[in-house]
Amino acid sequence: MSRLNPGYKFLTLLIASLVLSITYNIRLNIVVFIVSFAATACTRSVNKKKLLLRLLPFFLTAAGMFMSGFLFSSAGDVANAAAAGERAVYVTSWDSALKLSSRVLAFGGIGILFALTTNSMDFIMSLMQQFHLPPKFAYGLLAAYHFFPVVHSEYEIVRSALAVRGIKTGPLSKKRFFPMLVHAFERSESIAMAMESRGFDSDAGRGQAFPVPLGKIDFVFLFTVNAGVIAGIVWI
Amino acid sequence: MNSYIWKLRDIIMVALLSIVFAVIYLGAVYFASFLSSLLTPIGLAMFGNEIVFGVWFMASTLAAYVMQKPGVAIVAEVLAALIEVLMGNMYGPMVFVAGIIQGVGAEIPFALGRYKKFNLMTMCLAATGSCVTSFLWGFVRSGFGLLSIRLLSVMFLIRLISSVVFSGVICKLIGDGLARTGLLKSYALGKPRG
Repeated sequence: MSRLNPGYKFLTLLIASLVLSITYNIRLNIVVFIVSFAATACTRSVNKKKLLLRLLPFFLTAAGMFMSGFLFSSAGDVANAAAAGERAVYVTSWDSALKLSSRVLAFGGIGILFALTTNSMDFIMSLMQQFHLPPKFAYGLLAAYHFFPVVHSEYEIVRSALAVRGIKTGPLSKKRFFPMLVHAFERSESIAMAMESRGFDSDAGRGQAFPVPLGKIDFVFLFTVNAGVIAGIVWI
Repeated sequence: MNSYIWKLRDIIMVALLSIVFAVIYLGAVYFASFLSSLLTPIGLAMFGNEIVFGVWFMASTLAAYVMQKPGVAIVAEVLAALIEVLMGNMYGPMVFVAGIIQGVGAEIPFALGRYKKFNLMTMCLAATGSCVTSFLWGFVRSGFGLLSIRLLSVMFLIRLISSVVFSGVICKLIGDGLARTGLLKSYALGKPRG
């Protein structure tokens, strides 16, 4: 999985997800989840512990969706339903609950397959080389992306700085993110200047320092996965 | 992407804004998931997420307010989505689609004002636009059609309030605050009016 072309892998999984979203096939959703999970687990570079940890939020979300579907299905909620004949409606709310929650798992499986088997740098390079993303977008995104750890620690720093002055702030307080945004503007100015002063020019012809190969296997993957999903809709 | 509008600096700016809001969202999401877990037994788990939903649109409306040019809201939302994918968002490819759809929602009110009106009203409308398109997308993506109208209307209301507060009002205030610092001199928002 990690050897596939990242851009085409993205496209493949994107199409597969869109095709899946037109159906409510519970069994197919579960099959998709299991296959994605297996494919991820079988990829050598994937940290197995991380994979299991990443599954937790899906099960929580799926549980949440299950209960919402169960108690508030469009077929009528459980309380009203009881009057109308318990057994019939019981089946429909079970059904909606399973449809909603299995879908969370299917999309989650696909998402995790992509996230854990793809290197961010390769993904962006692939978007640039195979999907004509202009270099300034590609390198601009990468430059900013690498600031994530800095911005993340800044969030804590600003909180502490305010706390020292006796100002308590919640996680969504404006006081807390205003300084971070000021830094974002200052930084974007200086990063861009640094890049341009070193000769970065988006429109000039450029070589490829990190070529991302595109092979037959990527097209095979594109067709088999999507044919598989469509076949699943028809037969499962 | 209308490449000529976007300078390298603008791209990095939008990407960094998305990262700041992503960090804030992460900070809030712990709280939101805690709330969701509490609400799961009564079937209202989605409400936890809806409360912070507006944070998703902040990068896009703020960038549009600062740059005040056509297409900014859409491109900013797509860049934000790409950043999410890079960070390993658990819904990967679907987040990208959601980004485009939300961006279109935010873009419409600005386009209707012919990119001349950028005030509290258009900001709130842009937030509403994102809210509406993202909610419609929920029918396709999450199967909202299977849920009762009652639940959906409350969900929509919470998402609307969250969007307008975060991406409308707060983004407007932040934009004005940033303009006062003098940092935005090279952007439309920082230029003296008149």
